[in-house]
Amino acid sequence: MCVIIDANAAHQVFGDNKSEAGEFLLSRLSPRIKLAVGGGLLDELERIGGFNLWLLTALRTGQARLIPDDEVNSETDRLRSDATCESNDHHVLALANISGARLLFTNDNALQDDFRNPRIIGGTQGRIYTTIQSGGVSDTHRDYFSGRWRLCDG
Amino acid sequence: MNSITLENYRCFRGKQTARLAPLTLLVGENSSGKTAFMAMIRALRNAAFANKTPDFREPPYDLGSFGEVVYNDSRQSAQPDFFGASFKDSNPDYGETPVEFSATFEERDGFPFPTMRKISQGDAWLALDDRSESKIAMGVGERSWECVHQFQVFDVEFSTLSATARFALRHWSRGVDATMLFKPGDTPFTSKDASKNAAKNRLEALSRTTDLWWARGARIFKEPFAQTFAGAPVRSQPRRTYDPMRQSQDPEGEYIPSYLARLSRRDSDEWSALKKKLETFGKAAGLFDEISIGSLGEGAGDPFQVRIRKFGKELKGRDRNLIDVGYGVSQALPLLTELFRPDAPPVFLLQQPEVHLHPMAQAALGSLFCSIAPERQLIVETHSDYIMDRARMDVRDGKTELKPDDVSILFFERGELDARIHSIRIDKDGNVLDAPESYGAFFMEETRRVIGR
Repeated sequence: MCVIIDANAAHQVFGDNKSEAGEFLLSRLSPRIKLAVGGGLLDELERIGGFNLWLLTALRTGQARLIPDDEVNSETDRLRSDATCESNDHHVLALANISGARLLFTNDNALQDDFRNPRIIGGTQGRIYTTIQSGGVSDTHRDYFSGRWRLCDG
Repeated sequence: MNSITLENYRCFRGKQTARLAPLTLLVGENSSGKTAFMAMIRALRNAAFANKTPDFREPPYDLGSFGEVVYNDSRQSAQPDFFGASFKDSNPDYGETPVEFSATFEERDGFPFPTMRKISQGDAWLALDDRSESKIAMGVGERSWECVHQFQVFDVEFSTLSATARFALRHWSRGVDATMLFKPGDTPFTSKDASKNAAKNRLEALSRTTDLWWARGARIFKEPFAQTFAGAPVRSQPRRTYDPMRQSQDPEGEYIPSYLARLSRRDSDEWSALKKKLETFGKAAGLFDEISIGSLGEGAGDPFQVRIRKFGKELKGRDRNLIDVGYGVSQALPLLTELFRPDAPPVFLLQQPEVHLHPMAQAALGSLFCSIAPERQLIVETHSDYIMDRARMDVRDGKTELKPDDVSILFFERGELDARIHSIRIDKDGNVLDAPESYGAFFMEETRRVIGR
């Protein structure tokens, strides 16, 4: 299973502005539920303090999955030329399509809509982990990791 | 060897199977069974190929008496009366079905003794059974035939077996002339009996496979150099001056300086090739740029020194004695020499090759293992993330012939009273697959603390 953390939410997980929901997500990552990284999103995440060190250890222990840049970038180009996406986060959606990740932590409304759009996300509806309403841990957050949901198509 | 199965062995409860690959990396906490695992691999290979009884106390391992080697914990009222292991070996030459060699050990005079050795492929097998009286047995499916030593013959025609299979059986039985075990002309397999003919055909096929298996496994079968090299976690200390010594292989590499001196005195192509390989690695690892032997006399019996030279960016440094440079050099040298020597054995068992090495040298060691593993099977116990990282990256970046399936990570997890082996794979992108939840838990926890999570 794979999850993606959008750059606009990553500071709640790795940065100074941490939230309970962000910490809860980090605590749920494991060799079974990996964080997918690669392409343009990796460039963005690398700017967040502490992320690089976490990623190095997570790659060693199987809690993160690195997707080759060329694969993500070529999918990013395809999505951009397709013009179906409402958001400008083609690189995040491309990472989802290549990695098979079906859970996304983001507070960007346009990106949420795109991620739920089966025409963009490999014929399935992605699930959204968000803290727009509150930074606390909700039942929905917990439910995603209950084992009921298929969080990765890969 | 593609896999190994342990049963009732040391800290491994019941039966456990681990995947082996050209490069197998053993990781896990201290006292989780990694060294015992390697000791069993050597014991199995000795039981299969070498002309000696497996010894669990032979350096660099010392597992003690039978009672200490067999699995036993406080939950059991009595310890098992045997332990065993087997390995599987696949090769296109053998056909689709892997060859399996197994050995069962029981107590003899307080120590483990291999009472059963068996080679099988599919449902056909050959065995030396030493449990009560020594006998050679063979079978196909439910049918089996056996003969005991001393000319007694039971329903088997020896000509069914190839010369190599006969040699293997004789070898296992420690010198008993197996040609005397069968009476020529005994023909249990008659052409009128279709099922017997089928069994005969299967045994003949196994016998042909045994030829190939034995030839590969025992290809470097000449004493004193074993066909499995088992290295010690700490190598011999450097000395200012060495006296030539007998070329007898040892786990700590005590003899290595003499080996190098002998080669250099000959000024042979062999020395040039080895020196070049050592220096190439020395540069990549930042250890040294040049290695030479300085003789303190004219004769082969005269003392000598091992000298190392490290170049600066613009200036070449002067020769320094091995003892005067960093300890990492003298610790790495025996290991490198064993790996590079032209008659290196097909299987290496290495314990913590990274000791005393800077992370740059550890990473270079990872790349070196990746370059050697396509030719020789390397089973490496390590605590080095740099070796692990380099292996994953070199496979991902195509800097080695190794494919993802050619690397196996075995995670030894210590439980309450026993240990469990998890087989972990990597994918084409170098990602870690199939790791249990507990894999690297300590490292993740430490990292979270470091970054304040």
